[in-house]
Amino acid sequence: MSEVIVITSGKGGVGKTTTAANIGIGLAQLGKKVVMVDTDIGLRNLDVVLGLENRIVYNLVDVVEGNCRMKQALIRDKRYEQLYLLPSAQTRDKTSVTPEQMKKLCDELKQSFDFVLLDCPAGIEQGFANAVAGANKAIVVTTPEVSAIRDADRIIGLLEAQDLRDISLVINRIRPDMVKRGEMMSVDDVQEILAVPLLGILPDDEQVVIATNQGEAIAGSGSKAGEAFTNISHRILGESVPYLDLDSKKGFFRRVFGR
Amino acid sequence: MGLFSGRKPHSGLVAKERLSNLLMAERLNCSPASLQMLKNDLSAAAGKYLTVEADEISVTITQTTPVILTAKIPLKRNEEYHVKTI
Repeated sequence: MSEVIVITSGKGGVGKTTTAANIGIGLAQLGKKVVMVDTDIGLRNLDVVLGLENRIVYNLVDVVEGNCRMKQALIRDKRYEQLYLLPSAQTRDKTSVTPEQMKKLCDELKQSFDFVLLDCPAGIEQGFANAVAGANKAIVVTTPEVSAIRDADRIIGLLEAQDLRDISLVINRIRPDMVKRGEMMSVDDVQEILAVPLLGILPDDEQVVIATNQGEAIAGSGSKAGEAFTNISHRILGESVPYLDLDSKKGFFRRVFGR
Repeated sequence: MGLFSGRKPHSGLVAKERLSNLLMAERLNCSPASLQMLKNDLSAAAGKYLTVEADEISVTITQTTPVILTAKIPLKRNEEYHVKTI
């Protein structure tokens, strides 16, 4: 059965789009047919994170308004045949689409894909309402900072109020060295405060910046973050995978502290 | 803890405590000041009948369904008072 998952956070800049992109790539690598929908009308970014920005012809608003067929707007990823993007419109605003239209769009995509991933805009206004309308699951992305966690808590409350109760948490930009010194909240701290099930933890890995610069995939790359994204994708498929040991000497930790 | 050791507590712990208080207030749509007043009132109510350790009172809210308010009000063992009444 196909699933419609919204990736949201409340606060901007915590890594929603990067997380959405790499969960999509991770699921495609595991053989699933995935479509990613950028619901951030007016501020699209999923295209550029995926390196597909030069191939956009039609967008989400065109589909909703009937200017084109769904098939014409979907962009197939160059690396993974099973991965598609429905880009957002850049010159329109959030009111161009209604929650009902989004629901209809998701229902249509569900017919041809295993996973529909919705990249939600920051904030709690209409863009959020549009993004969550058609979803049956939510992934809340946060970082171990007071502002991001406060907003995540608010978002969790709003999702529950919309009767979207299948919520899981991704904690991004964990710095094990700082957690060790007691200068950053740990994964356990964040989970205890937000009280929703943990889907994954992502280290603060410079490979994420490098891959995003190039419009390349992080999931499946040799980095710690890549491994973490692959693990998250496995967990979405219902497999139980242990959480990464971010403290291990190889990989992440060594890179942080030099040669 | 940090108050008595004279050392600044680690910022991770400070963040966790600040967030716990803030989110508790926000989830209930009740300001931190109101929560403090609730705490005071609970302690005053118990104090009318018992000797309470006012500084040690903790009011927590657990995010279960339904949300549960728990007040821990430690009582003083008042030996003196006992002796006098005997």
